[in-house]
Amino acid sequence: MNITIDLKSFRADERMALSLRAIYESYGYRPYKMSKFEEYELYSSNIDFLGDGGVLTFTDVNGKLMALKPDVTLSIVKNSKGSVGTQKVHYRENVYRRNARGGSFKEMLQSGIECIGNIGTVETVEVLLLALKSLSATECSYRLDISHIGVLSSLIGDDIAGEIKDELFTCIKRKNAGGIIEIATVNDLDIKRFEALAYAVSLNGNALDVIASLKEIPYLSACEGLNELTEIITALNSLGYKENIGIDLSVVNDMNYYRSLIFRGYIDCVPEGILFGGRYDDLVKKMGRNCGALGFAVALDRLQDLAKVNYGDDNALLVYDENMSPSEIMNAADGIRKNGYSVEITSDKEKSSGFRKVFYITQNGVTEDENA
Amino acid sequence: MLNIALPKGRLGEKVYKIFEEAGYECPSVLSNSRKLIFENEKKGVRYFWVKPSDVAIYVERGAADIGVAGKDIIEEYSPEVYELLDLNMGKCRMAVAAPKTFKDDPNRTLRAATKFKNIASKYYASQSRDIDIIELNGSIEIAPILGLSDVIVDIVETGTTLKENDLEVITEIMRISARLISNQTSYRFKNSEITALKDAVAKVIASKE
Repeated sequence: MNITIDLKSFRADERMALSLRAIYESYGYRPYKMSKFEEYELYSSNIDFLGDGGVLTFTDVNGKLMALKPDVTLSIVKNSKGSVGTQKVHYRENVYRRNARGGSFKEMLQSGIECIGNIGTVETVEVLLLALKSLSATECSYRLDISHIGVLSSLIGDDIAGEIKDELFTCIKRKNAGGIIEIATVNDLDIKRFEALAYAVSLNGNALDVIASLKEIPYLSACEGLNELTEIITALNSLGYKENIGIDLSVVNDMNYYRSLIFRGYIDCVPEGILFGGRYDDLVKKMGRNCGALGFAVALDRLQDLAKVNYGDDNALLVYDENMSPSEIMNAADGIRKNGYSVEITSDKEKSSGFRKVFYITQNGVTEDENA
Repeated sequence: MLNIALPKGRLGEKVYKIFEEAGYECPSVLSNSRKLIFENEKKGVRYFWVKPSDVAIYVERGAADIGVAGKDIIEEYSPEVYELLDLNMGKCRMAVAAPKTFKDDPNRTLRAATKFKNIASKYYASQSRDIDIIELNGSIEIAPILGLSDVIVDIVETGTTLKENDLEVITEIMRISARLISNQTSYRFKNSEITALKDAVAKVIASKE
Protein backbone atom coordinates (compact mmCIF):
# COMPACT_ATOMS: atom_id res chain seq x y z
CA MET A 1 0.00 0.00 0.00
CA ASN A 2 1.37 3.40 -0.95
CA ILE A 3 0.99 6.08 1.68
CA THR A 4 1.38 9.68 0.64
CA ILE A 5 2.93 11.72 3.40
CA ASP A 6 1.93 15.34 3.47
CA LEU A 7 4.69 17.33 5.17
CA LYS A 8 2.11 19.93 6.17
CA SER A 9 0.67 17.48 8.69
CA PHE A 10 4.00 17.40 10.57
CA ARG A 11 4.77 19.73 13.45
CA ALA A 12 7.19 22.55 12.60
CA ASP A 13 10.02 20.92 14.59
CA GLU A 14 9.47 17.56 12.82
CA ARG A 15 9.47 19.24 9.41
CA MET A 16 12.62 21.14 10.35
CA ALA A 17 14.40 17.97 11.43
CA LEU A 18 13.73 16.41 8.03
CA SER A 19 14.76 19.56 6.12
CA LEU A 20 17.97 19.92 8.13
CA ARG A 21 18.92 16.29 7.55
CA ALA A 22 18.52 16.80 3.79
CA ILE A 23 20.61 20.00 3.89
CA TYR A 24 23.45 18.48 5.93
CA GLU A 25 23.60 15.28 3.88
CA SER A 26 23.75 17.26 0.64
CA TYR A 27 27.01 18.76 1.99
CA GLY A 28 28.48 15.34 2.70
CA TYR A 29 27.78 15.29 6.45
CA ARG A 30 27.15 11.72 7.62
CA PRO A 31 24.46 10.82 10.16
CA TYR A 32 25.74 10.06 13.63
CA LYS A 33 23.70 7.94 16.04
CA MET A 34 24.76 7.69 19.63
CA SER A 35 23.68 6.00 22.81
CA LYS A 36 21.28 7.77 25.15
CA PHE A 37 23.72 7.30 28.04
CA GLU A 38 27.37 8.13 28.70
CA GLU A 39 29.55 7.58 31.72
CA TYR A 40 29.13 10.52 34.07
CA GLU A 41 32.90 11.00 34.19
CA LEU A 42 32.82 12.41 30.62
CA TYR A 43 30.67 15.31 31.81
CA SER A 44 32.16 15.82 35.26
CA SER A 45 35.61 16.32 33.73
CA ASN A 46 34.25 18.84 31.20
CA ILE A 47 31.70 20.62 33.35
CA ASP A 48 32.90 24.04 32.14
CA PHE A 49 31.90 23.14 28.61
CA LEU A 50 28.38 22.24 29.69
CA GLY A 51 27.55 25.36 31.65
CA ASP A 52 25.09 25.12 34.52
CA GLY A 53 22.41 23.00 32.88
CA GLY A 54 23.11 20.10 35.25
CA VAL A 55 23.47 16.39 34.50
CA LEU A 56 20.84 13.73 35.15
CA THR A 57 22.59 10.66 36.56
CA PHE A 58 21.77 7.06 37.50
CA THR A 59 23.74 4.00 38.60
CA ASP A 60 24.04 1.27 36.00
CA VAL A 61 23.72 -2.45 36.91
CA ASN A 62 27.53 -2.75 37.13
CA GLY A 63 27.71 0.10 39.63
CA LYS A 64 28.99 2.70 37.15
CA LEU A 65 27.60 6.19 37.46
CA MET A 66 25.95 6.99 34.14
CA ALA A 67 24.30 10.10 32.75
CA LEU A 68 21.55 10.87 30.28
CA LYS A 69 23.50 12.93 27.82
CA PRO A 70 23.16 16.67 28.44
CA ASP A 71 25.16 17.42 25.30
CA VAL A 72 26.00 15.81 21.97
CA THR A 73 29.31 17.46 21.09
CA LEU A 74 31.26 15.80 23.92
CA SER A 75 30.20 12.31 22.79
CA ILE A 76 31.15 13.01 19.18
CA VAL A 77 34.53 14.46 20.20
CA LYS A 78 35.21 11.49 22.49
CA ASN A 79 34.49 9.06 19.69
CA SER A 80 36.59 10.96 17.17
CA LYS A 81 39.71 10.20 19.20
CA GLY A 82 42.07 8.17 17.05
CA SER A 83 40.35 9.21 13.81
CA VAL A 84 42.37 10.67 11.00
CA GLY A 85 41.36 13.28 8.46
CA THR A 86 38.36 15.55 8.80
CA GLN A 87 35.13 14.13 10.14
CA LYS A 88 31.85 15.75 9.14
CA VAL A 89 28.82 14.44 10.99
CA HIS A 90 25.25 15.52 11.61
CA TYR A 91 22.87 14.32 14.29
CA ARG A 92 19.37 14.59 15.66
CA GLU A 93 19.34 13.66 19.33
CA ASN A 94 17.50 14.32 22.54
CA VAL A 95 19.54 15.92 25.31
CA TYR A 96 18.53 16.18 28.96
CA ARG A 97 19.23 19.32 30.91
CA ARG A 98 17.62 22.14 32.79
CA ASN A 99 16.74 25.10 30.63
CA ALA A 100 18.41 28.47 31.11
CA ARG A 101 15.68 29.52 33.53
CA GLY A 102 16.48 26.63 35.89
CA GLY A 103 13.65 24.39 36.99
CA SER A 104 13.40 20.67 36.42
CA PHE A 105 15.16 18.62 33.75
CA LYS A 106 13.69 18.57 30.29
CA GLU A 107 14.13 16.45 27.21
CA MET A 108 15.23 18.73 24.38
CA LEU A 109 15.52 17.76 20.73
CA GLN A 110 18.58 19.07 18.93
CA SER A 111 19.80 18.77 15.40
CA GLY A 112 23.26 19.87 14.40
CA ILE A 113 26.61 19.28 12.79
CA GLU A 114 30.22 18.87 13.93
CA CYS A 115 33.27 19.27 11.73
CA ILE A 116 36.43 17.91 13.39
CA GLY A 117 39.87 17.88 11.77
CA ASN A 118 41.66 20.31 9.55
CA ILE A 119 39.55 23.48 9.83
CA GLY A 120 40.55 26.32 7.53
CA THR A 121 38.61 29.27 6.17
CA VAL A 122 36.81 27.12 3.60
CA GLU A 123 35.53 24.67 6.25
CA THR A 124 34.54 27.58 8.51
CA VAL A 125 32.60 29.29 5.72
CA GLU A 126 30.86 26.00 4.92
CA VAL A 127 29.76 25.47 8.55
CA LEU A 128 28.46 29.04 8.81
CA LEU A 129 26.72 28.64 5.45
CA LEU A 130 24.99 25.53 6.81
CA ALA A 131 23.99 27.50 9.92
CA LEU A 132 22.44 30.17 7.66
CA LYS A 133 20.68 27.52 5.56
CA SER A 134 19.36 25.91 8.78
CA LEU A 135 17.87 29.23 9.87
CA SER A 136 16.49 29.84 6.39
CA ALA A 137 14.72 26.46 6.51
CA THR A 138 12.39 27.85 9.21
CA GLU A 139 10.88 30.13 6.52
CA CYS A 140 11.03 33.04 9.01
CA SER A 141 13.19 36.17 8.85
CA TYR A 142 16.53 35.11 10.28
CA ARG A 143 19.85 36.42 11.43
CA LEU A 144 23.15 34.83 12.39
CA ASP A 145 25.22 36.90 14.81
CA ILE A 146 28.91 36.10 15.02
CA SER A 147 31.35 36.95 17.77
CA HIS A 148 35.04 36.23 18.27
CA ILE A 149 36.50 35.47 21.68
CA GLY A 150 39.95 36.53 20.43
CA VAL A 151 38.59 40.04 19.76
CA LEU A 152 36.99 40.19 23.21
CA SER A 153 40.22 38.97 24.86
CA SER A 154 42.23 41.69 23.10
CA LEU A 155 39.78 44.26 24.49
CA ILE A 156 39.65 42.89 28.02
CA GLY A 157 43.38 42.28 28.43
CA ASP A 158 45.08 39.44 30.26
CA ASP A 159 44.85 40.46 33.88
CA ILE A 160 41.12 39.94 34.52
CA ALA A 161 40.17 36.70 36.24
CA GLY A 162 37.94 35.09 38.86
CA GLU A 163 34.82 36.83 40.11
CA ILE A 164 35.52 40.05 38.21
CA LYS A 165 35.71 38.11 34.96
CA ASP A 166 32.40 36.37 35.71
CA GLU A 167 30.71 39.69 36.47
CA LEU A 168 32.20 41.21 33.34
CA PHE A 169 30.90 38.40 31.16
CA THR A 170 27.42 38.77 32.64
CA CYS A 171 27.51 42.45 31.64
CA ILE A 172 28.84 41.59 28.16
CA LYS A 173 26.05 39.03 27.62
CA ARG A 174 23.46 41.62 28.65
CA LYS A 175 25.00 44.44 26.57
CA ASN A 176 25.13 46.31 29.86
CA ALA A 177 27.54 49.11 28.95
CA GLY A 178 26.96 50.94 32.24
CA GLY A 179 27.74 47.77 34.20
CA ILE A 180 31.06 47.29 32.35
CA ILE A 181 32.18 50.83 33.24
CA GLU A 182 31.05 50.32 36.85
CA ILE A 183 33.20 47.17 37.15
CA ALA A 184 36.22 49.14 35.96
CA THR A 185 35.49 51.99 38.37
CA VAL A 186 34.86 49.79 41.43
CA ASN A 187 37.92 47.61 40.79
CA ASP A 188 40.22 50.45 39.75
CA LEU A 189 40.82 49.04 36.27
CA ASP A 190 41.82 50.81 33.06
CA ILE A 191 38.69 52.91 32.35
CA LYS A 192 39.65 53.71 28.75
CA ARG A 193 39.98 50.03 27.93
CA PHE A 194 36.61 49.23 29.50
CA GLU A 195 34.91 52.16 27.73
CA ALA A 196 36.18 50.67 24.48
CA LEU A 197 34.80 47.28 25.55
CA ALA A 198 31.40 48.78 26.44
CA TYR A 199 31.27 50.51 23.05
CA ALA A 200 32.30 47.34 21.18
CA VAL A 201 29.70 45.21 22.95
CA SER A 202 26.91 47.69 22.14
CA LEU A 203 27.67 47.58 18.40
CA ASN A 204 25.19 45.70 16.25
CA GLY A 205 24.28 45.89 12.59
CA ASN A 206 25.79 45.22 9.20
CA ALA A 207 28.74 42.92 9.80
CA LEU A 208 31.38 44.76 7.74
CA ASP A 209 30.31 48.15 9.20
CA VAL A 210 30.71 46.75 12.72
CA ILE A 211 34.14 45.32 11.84
CA ALA A 212 35.16 48.75 10.46
CA SER A 213 34.07 50.39 13.74
CA LEU A 214 35.95 47.75 15.76
CA LYS A 215 39.12 48.29 13.73
CA GLU A 216 39.16 51.91 14.85
CA ILE A 217 39.52 50.86 18.49
CA PRO A 218 43.24 51.20 19.38
CA TYR A 219 43.33 47.91 21.36
CA LEU A 220 42.18 46.06 18.24
CA SER A 221 44.56 47.53 15.67
CA ALA A 222 46.60 44.32 15.49
CA CYS A 223 43.80 41.88 16.32
CA GLU A 224 44.04 38.72 14.19
CA GLY A 225 40.46 37.80 15.01
CA LEU A 226 39.12 40.83 13.13
CA ASN A 227 40.98 39.81 9.98
CA GLU A 228 39.58 36.29 10.33
CA LEU A 229 36.06 37.71 10.71
CA THR A 230 36.50 40.00 7.67
CA GLU A 231 37.57 37.10 5.49
CA ILE A 232 34.63 34.91 6.56
CA ILE A 233 32.01 37.67 6.32
CA THR A 234 33.22 38.76 2.88
CA ALA A 235 32.82 35.20 1.63
CA LEU A 236 29.31 34.82 3.14
CA ASN A 237 28.23 38.22 1.82
CA SER A 238 29.24 37.22 -1.68
CA LEU A 239 27.15 34.06 -1.28
CA GLY A 240 24.07 36.28 -0.83
CA TYR A 241 23.73 36.45 2.98
CA LYS A 242 24.68 40.10 3.54
CA GLU A 243 21.33 40.94 5.14
CA ASN A 244 21.37 37.90 7.42
CA ILE A 245 24.76 38.15 9.12
CA GLY A 246 25.76 40.43 11.93
CA ILE A 247 28.72 40.88 14.25
CA ASP A 248 27.71 41.01 17.90
CA LEU A 249 30.36 40.66 20.59
CA SER A 250 27.70 40.10 23.27
CA VAL A 251 27.30 36.57 21.88
CA VAL A 252 29.61 34.84 24.35
CA ASN A 253 29.87 31.55 26.12
CA ASP A 254 32.50 29.86 28.23
CA MET A 255 35.87 31.35 27.39
CA ASN A 256 37.78 28.26 28.48
CA TYR A 257 36.68 26.30 25.44
CA TYR A 258 35.77 28.87 22.85
CA ARG A 259 38.87 30.77 21.80
CA SER A 260 37.76 32.12 18.47
CA LEU A 261 34.45 32.00 16.61
CA ILE A 262 31.19 31.76 18.46
CA PHE A 263 27.77 32.36 16.90
CA ARG A 264 24.06 32.33 17.57
CA GLY A 265 21.07 32.27 15.22
CA TYR A 266 17.74 34.01 15.70
CA ILE A 267 14.45 33.96 13.80
CA ASP A 268 11.83 36.68 14.16
CA CYS A 269 9.07 34.35 15.37
CA VAL A 270 10.90 32.83 18.37
CA PRO A 271 11.83 35.19 21.24
CA GLU A 272 15.19 33.51 21.97
CA GLY A 273 18.15 32.12 20.06
CA ILE A 274 17.53 28.83 18.23
CA LEU A 275 21.01 28.01 16.88
CA PHE A 276 24.19 27.88 18.96
CA GLY A 277 27.69 27.13 17.79
CA GLY A 278 31.36 27.88 17.84
CA ARG A 279 34.88 26.68 17.43
CA TYR A 280 36.06 24.45 20.28
CA ASP A 281 39.61 23.33 19.40
CA ASP A 282 40.65 23.30 23.08
CA LEU A 283 38.02 20.71 23.99
CA VAL A 284 39.25 18.40 21.21
CA LYS A 285 42.84 18.88 22.36
CA LYS A 286 41.90 18.16 25.95
CA MET A 287 40.34 14.92 24.78
CA GLY A 288 43.45 13.77 23.01
CA ARG A 289 43.29 14.91 19.40
CA ASN A 290 45.39 17.76 18.08
CA CYS A 291 43.13 19.38 15.51
CA GLY A 292 40.40 21.95 15.01
CA ALA A 293 36.66 21.57 15.63
CA LEU A 294 33.64 23.62 14.72
CA GLY A 295 29.93 22.90 14.97
CA PHE A 296 26.47 24.04 15.93
CA ALA A 297 23.16 22.77 17.25
CA VAL A 298 19.63 23.85 16.39
CA ALA A 299 17.21 23.74 19.33
CA LEU A 300 14.31 22.03 17.58
CA ASP A 301 12.17 22.05 20.72
CA ARG A 302 12.00 25.84 20.46
CA LEU A 303 10.37 25.53 17.04
CA GLN A 304 7.38 23.35 17.82
CA ASP A 305 4.93 26.25 18.04
CA LEU A 306 6.17 27.92 14.87
CA ALA A 307 3.30 26.85 12.65
CA LYS A 308 0.25 25.43 14.30
CA VAL A 309 -1.01 22.44 12.36
CA ASN A 310 -4.74 22.65 11.96
CA TYR A 311 -5.71 19.17 13.05
CA GLY A 312 -9.23 18.31 12.06
CA ASP A 313 -9.18 19.72 8.53
CA ASP A 314 -9.25 16.28 7.02
CA ASN A 315 -10.33 13.96 9.80
CA ALA A 316 -13.36 11.72 9.80
CA LEU A 317 -15.06 9.47 12.31
CA LEU A 318 -16.53 6.11 11.43
CA VAL A 319 -19.06 4.93 14.04
CA TYR A 320 -19.61 1.21 13.72
CA ASP A 321 -22.49 -0.93 14.75
CA GLU A 322 -21.34 -3.71 17.04
CA ASN A 323 -22.99 -6.31 14.83
CA MET A 324 -20.54 -5.52 12.04
CA SER A 325 -17.50 -7.75 11.50
CA PRO A 326 -13.98 -6.28 11.98
CA SER A 327 -13.12 -6.82 8.30
CA GLU A 328 -16.25 -4.95 7.13
CA ILE A 329 -15.37 -2.04 9.40
CA MET A 330 -11.72 -1.95 8.23
CA ASN A 331 -12.74 -2.06 4.56
CA ALA A 332 -15.27 0.73 5.07
CA ALA A 333 -12.66 2.88 6.83
CA ASP A 334 -10.21 2.29 3.97
CA GLY A 335 -12.87 3.36 1.49
CA ILE A 336 -13.18 6.70 3.30
CA ARG A 337 -9.39 7.05 3.56
CA LYS A 338 -9.15 6.80 -0.22
CA ASN A 339 -11.02 10.12 -0.36
CA GLY A 340 -8.20 11.79 1.51
CA TYR A 341 -9.47 11.56 5.08
CA SER A 342 -7.78 10.31 8.18
CA VAL A 343 -10.30 7.96 9.75
CA GLU A 344 -10.80 7.10 13.39
CA ILE A 345 -13.16 4.22 14.20
CA THR A 346 -15.35 4.02 17.28
CA SER A 347 -18.46 2.32 18.60
CA ASP A 348 -19.24 5.36 20.75
CA LYS A 349 -22.22 7.02 19.10
CA GLU A 350 -21.86 10.16 21.20
CA LYS A 351 -18.34 10.93 19.98
CA SER A 352 -18.72 13.15 16.96
CA SER A 353 -17.45 16.62 17.88
CA GLY A 354 -14.20 17.84 16.38
CA PHE A 355 -14.53 15.79 13.19
CA ARG A 356 -15.06 17.23 9.76
CA LYS A 357 -17.12 14.24 8.63
CA VAL A 358 -18.97 11.54 10.55
CA PHE A 359 -19.93 8.23 8.96
CA TYR A 360 -21.95 5.30 10.27
CA ILE A 361 -21.57 1.71 9.23
CA THR A 362 -24.52 -0.61 9.80
CA GLN A 363 -26.01 -3.67 8.07
CA ASN A 364 -27.43 -1.18 5.53
CA GLY A 365 -23.95 0.03 4.52
CA VAL A 366 -21.99 3.26 5.10
CA THR A 367 -23.94 6.49 5.51
CA GLU A 368 -22.67 10.00 6.11
CA ASP A 369 -24.13 12.15 8.86
CA GLU A 370 -25.32 15.22 6.95
CA ASN A 371 -25.67 17.24 10.14
CA ALA A 372 -22.07 16.68 11.36
CA MET B 1 4.98 48.54 16.59
CA LEU B 2 7.03 48.34 19.79
CA ASN B 3 5.41 46.52 22.70
CA ILE B 4 6.52 48.13 25.96
CA ALA B 5 5.94 46.59 29.40
CA LEU B 6 5.80 49.16 32.18
CA PRO B 7 5.81 48.34 35.90
CA LYS B 8 2.46 49.14 37.51
CA GLY B 9 2.70 51.82 40.18
CA ARG B 10 4.43 55.11 40.91
CA LEU B 11 7.74 54.21 39.27
CA GLY B 12 5.96 53.08 36.08
CA GLU B 13 4.09 56.36 35.85
CA LYS B 14 7.33 58.31 36.28
CA VAL B 15 8.96 56.17 33.58
CA TYR B 16 6.04 56.78 31.22
CA LYS B 17 6.49 60.55 31.67
CA ILE B 18 10.11 60.17 30.50
CA PHE B 19 9.00 58.13 27.47
CA GLU B 20 6.38 60.80 26.76
CA GLU B 21 9.00 63.53 26.93
CA ALA B 22 11.18 61.47 24.60
CA GLY B 23 8.40 61.62 21.99
CA TYR B 24 6.63 58.33 22.62
CA GLU B 25 3.43 59.64 24.14
CA CYS B 26 0.18 57.73 24.47
CA PRO B 27 -2.03 59.97 26.68
CA SER B 28 -4.61 57.30 27.52
CA VAL B 29 -1.93 55.43 29.52
CA LEU B 30 -2.47 57.65 32.54
CA SER B 31 -6.27 57.57 32.37
CA ASN B 32 -7.96 56.10 35.40
CA SER B 33 -9.44 53.18 33.53
CA ARG B 34 -9.06 49.49 34.23
CA LYS B 35 -7.58 48.99 30.78
CA LEU B 36 -4.11 47.47 30.78
CA ILE B 37 -3.09 47.95 27.14
CA PHE B 38 -2.74 51.33 25.41
CA GLU B 39 -1.68 52.03 21.85
CA ASN B 40 -0.49 55.00 19.83
CA GLU B 41 -0.33 53.69 16.29
CA LYS B 42 1.14 56.92 14.92
CA LYS B 43 4.11 56.73 17.29
CA GLY B 44 4.41 52.97 16.86
CA VAL B 45 4.13 52.10 20.54
CA ARG B 46 1.86 49.86 22.59
CA TYR B 47 2.21 50.18 26.36
CA PHE B 48 0.95 47.75 28.93
CA TRP B 49 1.02 47.73 32.72
CA VAL B 50 2.23 44.58 34.43
CA LYS B 51 3.33 43.64 37.94
CA PRO B 52 6.88 45.07 38.38
CA SER B 53 8.40 41.66 39.09
CA ASP B 54 6.83 40.26 35.89
CA VAL B 55 8.26 42.82 33.44
CA ALA B 56 11.43 40.79 32.83
CA ILE B 57 9.37 37.66 32.06
CA TYR B 58 7.23 39.51 29.50
CA VAL B 59 10.37 40.82 27.82
CA GLU B 60 12.39 37.59 27.98
CA ARG B 61 9.52 35.60 26.45
CA GLY B 62 8.91 38.20 23.73
CA ALA B 63 5.39 39.31 24.80
CA ALA B 64 7.03 42.74 25.15
CA ASP B 65 9.91 43.96 22.98
CA ILE B 66 11.21 46.23 25.70
CA GLY B 67 10.34 47.05 29.29
CA VAL B 68 11.48 48.71 32.46
CA ALA B 69 12.58 46.47 35.32
CA GLY B 70 14.46 46.99 38.58
CA LYS B 71 18.06 45.81 38.81
CA ASP B 72 16.94 43.63 41.77
CA ILE B 73 14.59 41.65 39.50
CA ILE B 74 17.25 41.31 36.79
CA GLU B 75 19.81 40.00 39.31
CA GLU B 76 17.35 37.72 41.08
CA TYR B 77 15.86 36.00 38.01
CA SER B 78 18.77 36.43 35.53
CA PRO B 79 16.46 36.72 32.53
CA GLU B 80 18.13 36.41 29.12
CA VAL B 81 17.52 40.02 28.10
CA TYR B 82 19.65 43.00 27.15
CA GLU B 83 20.09 45.71 29.74
CA LEU B 84 20.28 48.75 27.50
CA LEU B 85 20.09 51.74 29.81
CA ASP B 86 20.19 52.75 33.46
CA LEU B 87 17.21 55.09 33.87
CA ASN B 88 18.62 56.43 37.15
CA MET B 89 15.14 56.22 38.67
CA GLY B 90 13.64 54.16 41.48
CA LYS B 91 17.03 54.24 43.17
CA CYS B 92 17.51 52.12 46.28
CA ARG B 93 19.91 49.43 47.50
CA MET B 94 19.90 45.73 48.29
CA ALA B 95 21.29 45.32 51.79
CA VAL B 96 21.76 42.98 54.72
CA ALA B 97 20.04 44.37 57.81
CA ALA B 98 19.81 43.10 61.40
CA PRO B 99 18.58 44.18 64.83
CA LYS B 100 20.87 46.76 66.42
CA THR B 101 21.82 44.20 69.06
CA PHE B 102 22.89 41.61 66.48
CA LYS B 103 26.38 40.11 66.78
CA ASP B 104 27.45 37.72 64.06
CA ASP B 105 28.62 34.33 65.29
CA PRO B 106 30.59 32.70 62.45
CA ASN B 107 30.48 29.44 64.39
CA ARG B 108 26.86 28.82 63.46
CA THR B 109 24.70 28.88 60.34
CA LEU B 110 23.35 32.35 59.64
CA ARG B 111 19.58 32.48 59.15
CA ALA B 112 18.64 35.05 56.50
CA ALA B 113 15.04 35.98 55.66
CA THR B 114 14.50 37.35 52.17
CA LYS B 115 12.34 37.66 49.08
CA PHE B 116 15.54 37.50 47.00
CA LYS B 117 16.92 34.02 47.59
CA ASN B 118 19.26 34.01 44.58
CA ILE B 119 20.83 37.37 45.39
CA ALA B 120 21.23 36.35 49.05
CA SER B 121 22.72 32.93 48.17
CA LYS B 122 25.17 34.45 45.70
CA TYR B 123 26.27 37.11 48.14
CA TYR B 124 26.90 34.70 51.03
CA ALA B 125 28.55 32.16 48.70
CA SER B 126 31.03 34.90 47.77
CA GLN B 127 31.70 35.28 51.51
CA SER B 128 31.99 31.46 51.91
CA ARG B 129 29.35 31.69 54.62
CA ASP B 130 26.97 28.86 55.45
CA ILE B 131 23.45 30.25 55.53
CA ASP B 132 19.89 29.06 55.93
CA ILE B 133 17.62 31.02 53.60
CA ILE B 134 14.11 31.64 54.85
CA GLU B 135 12.05 32.66 51.85
CA LEU B 136 9.28 35.12 52.70
CA ASN B 137 6.95 37.09 50.43
CA GLY B 138 6.50 40.26 52.49
CA SER B 139 6.93 41.95 55.91
CA ILE B 140 10.52 40.70 55.92
CA GLU B 141 11.46 43.14 58.71
CA ILE B 142 9.38 41.21 61.21
CA ALA B 143 11.45 38.01 60.82
CA PRO B 144 14.42 38.96 63.09
CA ILE B 145 12.12 40.59 65.66
CA LEU B 146 10.22 37.33 66.10
CA GLY B 147 13.41 35.26 66.08
CA LEU B 148 12.59 33.67 62.73
CA SER B 149 15.91 34.84 61.27
CA ASP B 150 19.17 36.52 62.32
CA VAL B 151 19.33 38.97 59.42
CA ILE B 152 17.26 40.05 56.44
CA VAL B 153 18.34 40.64 52.85
CA ASP B 154 16.01 43.21 51.37
CA ILE B 155 15.58 46.45 49.44
CA VAL B 156 16.26 49.57 51.47
CA GLU B 157 14.95 52.88 50.17
CA THR B 158 15.00 55.52 52.90
CA GLY B 159 15.67 53.19 55.83
CA THR B 160 12.59 54.41 57.71
CA THR B 161 10.94 50.97 57.92
CA LEU B 162 14.19 49.50 59.24
CA LYS B 163 14.53 52.25 61.85
CA GLU B 164 10.93 51.83 63.01
CA ASN B 165 11.62 48.14 63.58
CA ASP B 166 14.96 48.68 65.36
CA LEU B 167 16.94 47.29 62.44
CA GLU B 168 20.02 48.71 60.76
CA VAL B 169 21.96 48.09 57.56
CA ILE B 170 25.06 45.93 58.10
CA THR B 171 26.25 45.59 54.51
CA GLU B 172 25.19 46.98 51.18
CA ILE B 173 25.10 44.24 48.52
CA MET B 174 24.29 46.32 45.45
CA ARG B 175 22.79 49.54 44.27
CA ILE B 176 19.48 49.28 42.46
CA SER B 177 17.75 51.42 39.86
CA ALA B 178 15.29 50.97 37.00
CA ARG B 179 16.74 49.60 33.75
CA LEU B 180 15.50 49.65 30.17
CA ILE B 181 15.61 46.03 29.02
CA SER B 182 15.08 44.46 25.60
CA ASN B 183 14.17 41.05 24.26
CA GLN B 184 17.12 39.50 22.38
CA THR B 185 15.17 38.67 19.22
CA SER B 186 13.35 42.04 19.13
CA TYR B 187 16.71 43.77 19.53
CA ARG B 188 17.74 42.20 16.23
CA PHE B 189 14.55 42.48 14.20
CA LYS B 190 13.32 45.85 15.54
CA ASN B 191 16.76 47.31 16.12
CA SER B 192 16.23 50.74 14.56
CA GLU B 193 13.03 51.37 16.58
CA ILE B 194 14.57 50.14 19.84
CA THR B 195 17.81 52.08 19.36
CA ALA B 196 15.91 55.28 18.46
CA LEU B 197 13.76 54.96 21.61
CA LYS B 198 16.77 54.17 23.81
CA ASP B 199 18.72 57.18 22.49
CA ALA B 200 15.73 59.52 22.91
CA VAL B 201 15.12 58.31 26.48
CA ALA B 202 18.85 58.58 27.31
CA LYS B 203 18.80 62.18 26.11
CA VAL B 204 15.84 63.08 28.35
CA ILE B 205 17.49 61.42 31.35
CA ALA B 206 20.81 63.18 30.72
CA SER B 207 18.99 66.53 30.54
CA LYS B 208 17.58 65.93 34.02
CA GLU B 209 20.89 65.11 35.69
